[in-house]
Parts: sequence; C-alpha cells; structure tokens
Amino acid sequence: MKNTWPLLVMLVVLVVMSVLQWSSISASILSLSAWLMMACLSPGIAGRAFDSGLIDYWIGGVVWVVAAVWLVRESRKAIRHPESRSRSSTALVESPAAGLLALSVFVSLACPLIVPLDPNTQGSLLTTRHLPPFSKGIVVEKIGEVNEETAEGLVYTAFQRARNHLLSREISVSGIVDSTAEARQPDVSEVTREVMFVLGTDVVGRDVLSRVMYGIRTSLSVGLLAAIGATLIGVLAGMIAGMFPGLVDTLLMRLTDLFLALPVLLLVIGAVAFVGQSEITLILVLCLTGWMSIARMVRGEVRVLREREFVLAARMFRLPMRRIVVRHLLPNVVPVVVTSAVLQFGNIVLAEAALGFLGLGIQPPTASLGNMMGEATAYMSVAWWVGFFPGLILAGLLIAAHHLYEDLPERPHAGSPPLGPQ
Amino acid sequence: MLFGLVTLIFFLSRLLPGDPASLFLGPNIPASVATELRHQFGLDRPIAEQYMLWLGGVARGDLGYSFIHNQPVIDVLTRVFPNTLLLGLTAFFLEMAFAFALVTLAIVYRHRWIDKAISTLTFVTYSLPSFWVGILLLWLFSYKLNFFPPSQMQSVGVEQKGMIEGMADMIRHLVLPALTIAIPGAAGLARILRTSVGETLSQEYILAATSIGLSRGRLISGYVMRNSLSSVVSLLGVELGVLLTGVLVTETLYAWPGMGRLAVMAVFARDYPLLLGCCILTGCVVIIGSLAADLLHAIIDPRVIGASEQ
Repeated sequence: MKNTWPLLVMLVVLVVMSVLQWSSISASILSLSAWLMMACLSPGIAGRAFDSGLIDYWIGGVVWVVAAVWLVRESRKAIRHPESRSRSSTALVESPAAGLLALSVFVSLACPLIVPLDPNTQGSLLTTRHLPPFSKGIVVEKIGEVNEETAEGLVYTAFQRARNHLLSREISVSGIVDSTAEARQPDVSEVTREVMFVLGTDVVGRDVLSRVMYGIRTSLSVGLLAAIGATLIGVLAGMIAGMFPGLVDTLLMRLTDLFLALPVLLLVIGAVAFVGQSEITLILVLCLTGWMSIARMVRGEVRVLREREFVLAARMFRLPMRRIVVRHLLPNVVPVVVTSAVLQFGNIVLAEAALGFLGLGIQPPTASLGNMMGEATAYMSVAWWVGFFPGLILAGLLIAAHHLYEDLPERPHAGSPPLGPQ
Repeated sequence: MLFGLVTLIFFLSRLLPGDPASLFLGPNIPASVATELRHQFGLDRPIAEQYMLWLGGVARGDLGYSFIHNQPVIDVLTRVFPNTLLLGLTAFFLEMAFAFALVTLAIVYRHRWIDKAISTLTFVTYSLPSFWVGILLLWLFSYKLNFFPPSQMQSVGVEQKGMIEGMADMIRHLVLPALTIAIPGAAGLARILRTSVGETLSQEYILAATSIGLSRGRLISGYVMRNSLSSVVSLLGVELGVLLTGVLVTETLYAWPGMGRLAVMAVFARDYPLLLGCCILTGCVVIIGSLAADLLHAIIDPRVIGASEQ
C-alpha cells in the first residue's frame, strides 16, 4: 500500500516555510559557509568572529538543507519508482504519525530559522497584548553595523552581514501598523518590517506561534532525553531481574511495584519541590519515574528468552554472561523496548506538560507547551488562542506517539494499552 | 506493600538534597534558630532513629505538622479528602457510563461506520491532555455559554440557603471538573473494553447463545458485557492512580478544595510534611484500590481463581 500524501504535505510545508523565511535561512547557510571558509583560510579571524548565538542558527540551516535534500530525493523516488522504496525512509513517509513526529523534530531543530519573531520579545503592552490570531503588527529591528572598509575581505563582510541579520535585536514590537511606522524615524541601523501574529499574542504581547515552536523544542528535548534515560534504567533493571531469578528478582520487582503504586505526577512534583526546578532535575526526575513499565516488559521477555534453546546452548558453551546478554538477549529485547519506549515518550511528554501547566516544570520565560497553557488559564475568557494552540500541538504530538505505538509490529500483548498519567 | 511504600517515601525524601529547616526559615534567619528547629523536628538524630520515629508516627496516624495550615497534617488531609473523593467518584462513574454507552453503541452497530467513528473518536480523545480539555470546557461552558461556574466548590453565600439549594449548587460546580477527568479517561476505558468485547464476541458461547435465539439486548447485556468486564476490572487499580493524578491538575485548574490542590500548594509553600502526607495517602488509596480491584475481579470472573491456583 502506497501512501504518498504525508510526503506531499511535508514537501508543501517545507516549500512554504522556505519562501516565508527565505532571508534568515539563506543568512544562516551563508554565515555557516563563510565561517567555515574563514576557519580554513585564517583560523584566528574565524575564532574572533565566532558567536555562540549563531550555533542555533547553523544547526537549523544544516537541518534545513538535509531535510530539503531528503524530501526531494524521496519525492523523486516516489515519482519514478512508485513500487520500490528504501526501507529506512518508508516508515517515515508512509506512516502519518511518524511523519508528524519527524516534522516536529524538524521544527524543534530549525525553530530559530522558522519563527517569525523572537519568542521572548515582549510587545508594547498597550497595543500588542492579547491580539487575536491573524492580526498584523510592526517590528523595528536594530541591526549591527557592517564596516565595509575592513581589510578582512569579501568573505568576512559577507559573514558579518549574515550574522548581523540573524542576531539583529528586536527593539520594539507594536500591534498598530500605521502610527508606529510614522512615529519612528527609522535609523540607519534600524529596519522596520511588518509581521503577522498568525496565532495571536499572549498577555505580554509575545508571538504565540513563535512560542509554540520553541515549546515543541522544549517538550521534545525533555521528552526524548527522559525517555532515553528511563529506557536505559528500565532495560538495566529488567535485565538484572530477568537474569537472576530469586531474591534479586523479587526485590527488584517489589521496588517496581512500589514505584508503580506512587502516582507519578505527585512523585515528580515532590521531587521537583525538593531538588529545584531546573531542566536537568526535571529530566532526571522524569527518568526515575518512567522506567517501571519498561523494566517489567524486559523482565518478562528475558525470562522467556533465557529458557530458549539458543541461550541454553550459549550457556552450555560456558560463554561469559556479558556475551550472552549482549549478543543473545539484548538484540531480542530491542523490539519490545522500542515499542514501550515510544509509549513512555508520550507519557513523559504529557507529564512534562502537566508539570508546566501547574507551574512546576520548565520555568518561564522559556516557552514550553505546558507552561504556556498554565499561563493562559487565567485569561481564557479574553484570549482563548493563547491556551488553545499549545494544547492542540501537544495533543497532536501525543496522538502521533500513540498512533506510532499502535503501528509498531512488536506490541507487547499484555492485553491492553497501558494507561498514561492523564 | 503499604509498609514498603511508607519506607520508600521516607528514604526518597531524605535522599534528596535540601534541608527542610533552612528552606522553611529562609536565608535571613541565624543558623542557631535553624539548628534549634532541626532539633525540635528531630532532624539532627541519626537516620535510623528518625526512620523508626517516623514509622511509629505514621502507624499512629501522626504524619507531622503542616506549616502552612498550622495544624497536624492528618487533620488537613481528613478535612480535604472527602472533596477529592466526591470529585473522583463522580468522574469515575461518568467515565464508566460514557465508556459503556460508547462501546454498546459500537457493538450494536459493529463493522459499520458508527463503530469506526467511535474507535477513531476514542483514540483521539484518549490522547488529549486532560488539562487542555479542562481549559476548553472552561472557556466554552463557563465563559461563553455561562452554564457552569468556573471555579471553587460552592458559590459565595450559599450556606445561608437551604440544604437542597446547597446540593444543587455543588453539583453545578462539580460538572466541569468531573467531565475534565472523565472525558480522556472514558476514552481509554472504552478502548480497552472494545478490544475485550471483540475477543468475547468470537467465543463459542456467544455463538451458542445466539443460536438459542436470545434477543440482541439480552445477549449484549447478559453475555458479552459481563464477560468483557473482567479486563476492565483488572485495570481499575491502575485507573485509580490515573484518576488521582488527573485530580491533581483538575483541582488546580478549577480551584476545587481537594487533595490535589493541597499538594500543589504544599509544593509552592515548601510544606514538606503536608506533601509527604499527600503522597502517602494517595499511595495507600492506590494500593487498597488495586487490592479491591483484584478481589472484585475474582468475584466477577471465577476463572481468575482457578488460573492462580494452577
């Protein structure tokens, strides 16, 4: 069964974004290539010109190029050979859920390039507060000067120009188009441009669309890191419990049951309260509260596997335990682990958002989908869009994760979909 | 199990860095006061002794002293817990009602578009974050349509009115929070139930019952549902935990004076005894709940007892 529409959607999204944000995309690619060229020619100048704020943009630019090349290749393949397609990309192209997740990964990596406005720039409170979706505004940006006379030459000038474009500071954002444009006498170093607040603005006049994009970035990075951590702990605990039946097994499984009996969110809240609310503690806590289901799954799998003939044979040959675990058990556990890790990823993203919603997760002004919704609740009666859109995106992410979980072939047949922390 | 839970909570709370006394007092208090306070709370004794003391306290129902409420924790919890119970039970019954209604509809029209629509609907709803559902309900029913009050448990001044009006007022306040918890929960439950109904339908005794000529209604209510129930009941323990975490967010959103809100407030106020108390109470409820679910499972489905004896 060929399903090409996710590919088409992705292609259209990429083209539209490229057209809309062409200046920053080209600037980031240009600055990266100019800097690399400088680094080759004269490392000293390159070192001085380096700005850590640029790395974000460079990653975005590289991701952009990679995505564009990949999409074009895929669509050419889809057109020329509609029947055959390489295996690795098939899953991404044909499952809408995987496509959506890939798209959100792309957005989160490339968000500095895509956002129409800086997510933390506040607008003027009089004119920009709680603007409804699709209202227009005007932004005045301060752009650093380019000294054309420098002896460094063409490459350096190009680099500086691109850098200044990327790192230009937004000095005022206003919701009223005419008066601001007339009132401000544009400086030489100031550039005025019109923007559209596609998803409106929040209580201090920040652009909701930009914040949502950075929110996706926060959710995904926390979710992915915590899911990986939880999976590692879970696999380790499950392996140990499965390999050593008896006391160790009983103890570990008791511990797992205990952790399962604790309401995850309450545990996370407690831990965050004790340790403090930094991003790293948040990830650690989510790891520590998310490993149980994976541990159980792995233990069950290992207990079955260790009685299988190939493991018995390996043990008969007196292969070292390490080798049995690494070569015989782990590869067979991987499918189950991947599947439950996908589910756990969804749960962790949800838990992170719930924490943010309660004001205990990622702290503002850093945008996360949860804390945006938490901030929006108080103003729901006047500005529904501030809370609605982050939730919509979050729901989309969760639906995609759950859908991917259902799509994966190796679903643990424990009888029912495990329930997540709602 | 309960004992283990209490132990785990104690050691987790001691493992984590951060000194309750200095956090409680703030930075501008001289160290001698903190030392005295630590002595007063017994925080300077060896950990084993602290543990034994704490264990003894918990066994006697003494969970410590809440800073923000200036009362023993147990008093605060007993005052607040009925509210959470009310909300939780209402949500639970709504959840069950929705799930059963949906699944009955789905199997009556099985393999037709209604069945497919319901399965898509439950899949999507199951993935919705409850707090998002909550703010949407709040926006729609409270601000736009003005059907239900947005927060609190009672209107101001309702105590002066009669008993009946008081009840009606409370029910009006209950609707939105209960729905917020029930909607995603019901979808999850409906999905599990639908799967297990699907399995039941392919059993031979259903075929036999059909061939006897039982009416569709009798068949579904008496044979299919009853046999499918066991899968749902076995999950009730887990469901209870989910419910209680849902309560946490929902109570904060609707300012419902329950345990979830208490816990969140305890975090913001750094009131550790209260927070630990909430953790213990919730853990106990979950453990007792899953025990009850197991017993209920055995009552509904006698096959379980046979299976466990083998």
